[in-house]
Amino acid sequence: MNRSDLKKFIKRAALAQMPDVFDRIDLQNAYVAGVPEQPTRRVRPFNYAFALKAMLVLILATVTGVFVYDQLQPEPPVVLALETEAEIYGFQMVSATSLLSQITATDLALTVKFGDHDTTTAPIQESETLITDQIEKITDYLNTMEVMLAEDDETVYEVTPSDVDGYQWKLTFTTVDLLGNVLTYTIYYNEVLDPEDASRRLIDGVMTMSGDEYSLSGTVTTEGDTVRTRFIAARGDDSIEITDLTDADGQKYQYDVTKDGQPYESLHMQLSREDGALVATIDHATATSSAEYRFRRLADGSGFEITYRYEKNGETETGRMGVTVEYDEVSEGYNYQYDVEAQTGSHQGHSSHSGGRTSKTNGSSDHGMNTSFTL
Amino acid sequence: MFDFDGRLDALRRKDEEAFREIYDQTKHGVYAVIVAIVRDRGIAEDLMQDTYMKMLARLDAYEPGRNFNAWLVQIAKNLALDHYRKEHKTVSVDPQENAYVFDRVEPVESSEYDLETLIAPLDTEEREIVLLHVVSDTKFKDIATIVDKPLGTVLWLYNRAIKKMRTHVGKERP
Repeated sequence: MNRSDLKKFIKRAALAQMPDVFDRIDLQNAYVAGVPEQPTRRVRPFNYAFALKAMLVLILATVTGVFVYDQLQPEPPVVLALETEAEIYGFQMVSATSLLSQITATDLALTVKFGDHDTTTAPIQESETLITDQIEKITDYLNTMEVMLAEDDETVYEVTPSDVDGYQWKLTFTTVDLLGNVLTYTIYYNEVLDPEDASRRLIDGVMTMSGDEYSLSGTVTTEGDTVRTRFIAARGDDSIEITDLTDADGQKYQYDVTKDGQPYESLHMQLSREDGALVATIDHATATSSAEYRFRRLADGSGFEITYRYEKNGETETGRMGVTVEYDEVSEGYNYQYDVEAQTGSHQGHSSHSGGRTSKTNGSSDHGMNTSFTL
Repeated sequence: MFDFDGRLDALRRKDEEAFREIYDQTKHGVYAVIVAIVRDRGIAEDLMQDTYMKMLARLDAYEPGRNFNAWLVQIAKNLALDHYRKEHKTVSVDPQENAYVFDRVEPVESSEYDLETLIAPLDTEEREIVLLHVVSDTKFKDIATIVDKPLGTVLWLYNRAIKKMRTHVGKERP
């Protein structure tokens, strides 16, 4: 039984036997703190003719009121995927650091692990899917999305006063990976007013991930009702800069990656909420290709669904990937298992791939201390 | 989000509609925390009633702007714990000793499970967290306040409980 079914059955079974005590509580005779005694009211005889007239007037006023109200209503506001300051800061800082960590780690995996125990993404079955050459890149994104897009009720962002000297604030992001491990990422940071610009706040901080320390810096600029953020996560010559491009269509961010001091790639991410779950759509383009990936974690927490559109050398493929996490006895670790269904024009393709998942329990942080739990 | 503070002004005037709205918004959490501890349907019903009566009587102790739902659930939890202590002197967390004594309710569909089967392997604390979260949709942050544990610990206990139940159900019905 998956998590979703289990929760559904618990709720249904519990509510089926829940008593209703509302009618057992006599509010009028109950003692309510701070309520003065009510004077006894004189009861007047009921006037049917007056009641009927009043009801007709009320109905007419209601119908007119509803019509006028509808006409005056503004466009519905955009539903923000991230609402609080902790969520907005936390998502950008943790996703940037995680993505940078993945991009740096991928090269190591390619260099070191090719051989008998190759755990990079390798096709185990293939039949003409264009997307195959993007699986490693998708895996970089997925390693980050796995922690950022956990079930909505299992991710918590919290800002509290820092318990480390030199920093004012501690931002904690708690999430659950696909294996059910609870992961905690901690960022320590300072936030001060820019002495040269009163509309801007400056942020500097630090985050440890997979044993590596990343510096974080950023600005938060207020322009009227609009707040713009810009963060940079860096380690040595590698960095990711996130620019807030949020507009009326939703929350959007641009990630510019610099590797070994040189521009490496640029991507856009748009966040939305569907049925309470956070969904991320990533756009990425090169001189010869462009791609759009939409990541959504399955409601039962068993994996991911990625829908995509990939264009390369004038050919366009769309498709869907089902992604699960499987134990690999050779590497004694967990890998992503991709099952790809692709469509190119009237041609359908199918491929499977395995590998590429990095351990999330080593990735979580607490300023150098690993506070994740393996269940 | 439901405006508890706005309804509480009406409740202080003994407005039945306001009380109905508050009751409907809070009954799942109140029920969840009570049945996690006392596990007897008749007593749970009495304690639910006592919770709302006590809430009315202590309404002036609630500070507007705070989390009313968490405050009310804490009243329910204290009443349930008081009852349990009176009955058992000490609260046990041994799941075997705490064998569920709720009336068995026939599953809605033959393929479904009853509550007793599902939460049988959980101890009192796990039951409280699971029922508050699943039955009343209480946020983990609020549950952490109610059970007085760090957020990470609550999430860990919850996921451990989910794994226990999945394993247990797998054994029950392979």
